[in-house]
Amino acid sequence: MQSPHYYTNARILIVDDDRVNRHLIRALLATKGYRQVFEAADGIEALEMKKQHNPNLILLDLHMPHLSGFDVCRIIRRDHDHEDIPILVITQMDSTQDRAAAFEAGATDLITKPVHKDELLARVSIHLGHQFLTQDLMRYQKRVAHELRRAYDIQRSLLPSPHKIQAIHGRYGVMVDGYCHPSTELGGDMWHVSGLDGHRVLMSLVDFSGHGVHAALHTVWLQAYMGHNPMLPDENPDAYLAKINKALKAYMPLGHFATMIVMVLDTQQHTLTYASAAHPQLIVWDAEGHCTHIAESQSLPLGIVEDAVFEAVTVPLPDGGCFFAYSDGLLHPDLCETAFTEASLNTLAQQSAPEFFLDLIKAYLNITRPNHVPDDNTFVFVSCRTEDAQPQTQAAAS
Amino acid sequence: MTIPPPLLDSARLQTLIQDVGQDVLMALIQEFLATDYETPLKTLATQSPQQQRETLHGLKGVAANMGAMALVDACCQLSQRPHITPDDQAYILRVLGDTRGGIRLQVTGDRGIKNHYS
Repeated sequence: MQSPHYYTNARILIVDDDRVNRHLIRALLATKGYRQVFEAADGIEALEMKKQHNPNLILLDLHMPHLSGFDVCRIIRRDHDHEDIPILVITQMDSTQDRAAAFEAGATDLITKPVHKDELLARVSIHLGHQFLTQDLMRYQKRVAHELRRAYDIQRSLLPSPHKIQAIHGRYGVMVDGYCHPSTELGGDMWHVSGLDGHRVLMSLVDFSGHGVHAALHTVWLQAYMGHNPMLPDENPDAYLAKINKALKAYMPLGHFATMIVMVLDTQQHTLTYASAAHPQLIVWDAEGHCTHIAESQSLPLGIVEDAVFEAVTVPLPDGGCFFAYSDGLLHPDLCETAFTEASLNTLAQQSAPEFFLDLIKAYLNITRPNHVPDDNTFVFVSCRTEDAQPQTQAAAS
Repeated sequence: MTIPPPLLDSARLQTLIQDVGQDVLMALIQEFLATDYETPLKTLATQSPQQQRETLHGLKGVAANMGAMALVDACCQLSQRPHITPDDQAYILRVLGDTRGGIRLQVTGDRGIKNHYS
């Protein structure tokens, strides 16, 4: 709350067709130091004065010629820029009908005639306080929304660009379909794809605990870490995960953690090698569309234990095969209380072609996305068709 | 038998002196005395019900603020009449005149605002 002195700088508009009443109220306001007081003698003049002086509060008589106080109230409430301005209606003690109608028209509060100084000043001070607080909150909300929007844009820019995905496809014949949607303005999910060497592609998907700003900052930190400490060509996914875990353990506050999966697709050996830190299942299909592997991690999440050990697993991924990795947002019920379970995803993967599986997941996410989903949702669907590769396109894929 | 209200609420005037000071109150009273409330009242009986309500409501408001109890009471009484007669009109004009006289006395009388508080 601001100091009482702050309120005396407020602009107050008195609307009453009786000059004596207006001057009495002005005199009472002056005792508290209110100096920016304007007067209007009827409803039409009141609307003009409002436009001219942009008052912080209006003291309004109800019964006036030309345009009544009720009409003034209604007109002001329809004006988007002034719909929140406090309107204190000054009315007779015995006019119960007036009082009810005044609230219906949009009055904020009532002051009865005869006007008493202490009541007038107290009500004016309270409503100006609310008004300034509301304005401060709105300014704050606008600023934060703007900053979150910019932060969202920055976080989005860290995701693989369509150009990069196209380059990966061109160089390795690997098609990557990625999706990342935060549950609030910012999220704690992130995925990554880059060329590891001439025939291998590195992919990762991370999900930090919680949502919002702190989780988003973790993703940015991880992105920077991976930029400075890229996975080496002779490094395995389990060793790389252990390295990231050690760094995260040293950096992240207690209670924060992340699940992550690191995957290396070898387009020469036709294998997929992955290591998972408590990440949800990885589903693999062969070239005929049969589900050949569903991996579940037994390892700890990242950031819990400094010397956590992870396991690298290699499975065949023939040309024409594909795989699907996702964050656990897919398993959280949305506002409609619907969600996949690991078991239902297993069944779906085993009973349907991968393209149908992907279409179904996308349709589900498109339905739930307009709602306020309870968790960030991310997946990568990768298919390998080496005949598409044009190895000369190297730079953008790395 | 209904006891008629006093012409003026002296406690209200005392409060106003304390609240806004003698000079400001004197200025307010001069404005009240200078304002022509009579003209609309002189046609009260022939006004539409809506106009009557507005005339009486406006007068009642300023009367309440100035502590003019009898005038507030008269406005209230007439507001409740289904028809305002010429007699009613004459009545409220008389009360207004008495109020103006009473206020002048409050200002200039021996124990009035001007003399008593100066």
